[in-house]
Amino acid sequence: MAKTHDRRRLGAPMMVAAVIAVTVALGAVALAMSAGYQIGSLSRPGPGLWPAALAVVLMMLCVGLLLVPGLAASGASPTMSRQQWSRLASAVAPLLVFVPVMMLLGSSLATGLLAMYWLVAVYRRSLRYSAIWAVVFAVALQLVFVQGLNVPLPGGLLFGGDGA
Amino acid sequence: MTDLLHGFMVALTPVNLLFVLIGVMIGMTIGVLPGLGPGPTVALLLPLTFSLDAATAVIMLAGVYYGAMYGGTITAVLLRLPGESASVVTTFDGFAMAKQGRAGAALGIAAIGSFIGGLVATLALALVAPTLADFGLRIGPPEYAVLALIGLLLVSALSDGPMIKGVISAIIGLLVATVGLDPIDATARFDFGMPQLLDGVNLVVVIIGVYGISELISNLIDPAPEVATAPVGRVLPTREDVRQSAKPMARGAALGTVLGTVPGGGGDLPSVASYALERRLAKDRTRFGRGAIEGVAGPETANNAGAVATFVPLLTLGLPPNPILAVIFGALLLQGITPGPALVTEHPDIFWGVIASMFIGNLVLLVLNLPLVRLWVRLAQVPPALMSTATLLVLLVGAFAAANDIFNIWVAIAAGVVGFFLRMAGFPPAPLVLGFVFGTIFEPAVRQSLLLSRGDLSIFVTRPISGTLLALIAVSAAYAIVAAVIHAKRERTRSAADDGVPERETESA
Repeated sequence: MAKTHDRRRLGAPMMVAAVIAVTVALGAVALAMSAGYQIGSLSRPGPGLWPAALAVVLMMLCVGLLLVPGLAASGASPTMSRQQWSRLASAVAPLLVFVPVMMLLGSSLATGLLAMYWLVAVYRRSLRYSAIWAVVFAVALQLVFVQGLNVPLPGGLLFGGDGA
Repeated sequence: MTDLLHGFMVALTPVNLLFVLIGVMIGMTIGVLPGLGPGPTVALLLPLTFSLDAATAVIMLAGVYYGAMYGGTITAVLLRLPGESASVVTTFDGFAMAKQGRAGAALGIAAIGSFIGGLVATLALALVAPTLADFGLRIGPPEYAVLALIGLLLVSALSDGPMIKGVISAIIGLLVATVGLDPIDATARFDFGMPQLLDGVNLVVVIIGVYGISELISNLIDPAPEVATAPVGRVLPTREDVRQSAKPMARGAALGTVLGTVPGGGGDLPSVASYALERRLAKDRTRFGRGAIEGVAGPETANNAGAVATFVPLLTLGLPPNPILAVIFGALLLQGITPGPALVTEHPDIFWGVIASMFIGNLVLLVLNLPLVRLWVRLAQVPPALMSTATLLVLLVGAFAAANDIFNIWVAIAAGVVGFFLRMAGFPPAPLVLGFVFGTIFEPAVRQSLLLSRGDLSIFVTRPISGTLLALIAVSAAYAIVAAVIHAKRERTRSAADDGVPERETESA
């Protein structure tokens, strides 16, 4: 189970509304695509019946959530501050380039660079401290996964290795 | 009895003894360390099991699971940080005891209680499982469908926030489970032309993303306040501590064993239920939250009993009651073994070997836990920056290692970001992951039931077992609605009384 700690239970209306809207859209897309997989009938259910039923129930529940005052915001975290959004962006951004970097430069450099970035930009550690630990982590991962578990991590296209 | 003795012969081989030790040590470590829970850890270890014997693989993964329950207690008592969600209630009285200089007694009682809980649940597993497996041979698709429904509703009800949000999470999980080839006629669904999706989304990757990466990002945005460590003091409890804890432990063991066997049970439920029970039975309830040893003894016993008892539905019915056991379910499938009612007869070495190893594992944890507690405390004080960075790297590389496919890293990241925003909006992650796991059981069960009944939905109601279970759901739902209405009415009356408005006026309004 995931680690937990206390959060205030106030609503973040915009965030909640966005998540519900996306969920309803997901349901609508799933319903539309399910229709193309042959719904069949109750006596001969086709591959589209189950996802279509789930999509309909999902959309109905989301609408129900919006109709009861206060229910949608219940259990949600407080509105994020600008600082928190900035921290989120700085944490997620490198993840979006991690795979291309890994394919190009290989797993050792990619993990080392990510560790370095994370420690410097996200946790505000010094360059020297971050560089040392980046090397430690990259080497440890190679030892555990490549040497220990025989996982064929990408060697990097730039170094003549396998990019995937 | 001879079967159990045979199981001990399997469990006491040098290889299995080594791997139970490895499993419980890894479990203790990740239970102590903030950041990486048993879910992602068991998922990350899954590829390692490919080269192991089936019994050994399950013995190690099971050791990680119940070992993590022990580890989570240490940070709960000493740092007021529950290592696992099941240890949340232990922070109330455990940390209070630590502030009174009685951390050692709290940890000692927790260790003893966990051992007793694990022992009782293992005995129950040995006694009940063969009968339940026999029962499992008599149930069909309608019963499996209803059991899966109960599991999802239970997890949704017990998660943080309103139940409707838990159900929505569960349905999202069920929808994600439909990606790939249809289980009955192999039609490709929601693959978007990508061959990597034809096999569906990988469970390990979903767990890494939804539990691992999203939790990591959440902790980054809203970090837990740093708490000073309380001194450990004398580790062994006094005779008075043991006397006060005896009955709570007995109750906790029974409660945890029963609740752990329910699909969707285990996790937080046994410890929360035990705390509520002990508080209700206490002569002086004001002691709770201020260092009442019963508030540690009962929940910790129930916690570990529940963790072991969750293996009952997995091994006997083939129904993984939570996402962590779903990975263990996957480990067995990868070995060509299908957990379920036939496991007892077709693979008794695996069935009884795993049960016997739980006796051994719980004993190892008791022996390791008490003398090494100061070491575990040092481990818990690893700087969050290093722990978080290391965890992220392990999760990303682990996602690749799940199937040696770089595509899975993208899936893990996407699942992590989606999981983060769902958490922020109050949609709990546990029902989503369990919905994903149950999707592979729920859909085939419903469709096979409809084929059997030629489309008649009353099959779920008219068959005695599924009908009874559905009736229980209906009664529980009715009770919950009536209780909510009465509670709301009482609240209105109370607030009106606080405002000085006579009750008659409020009713006419």
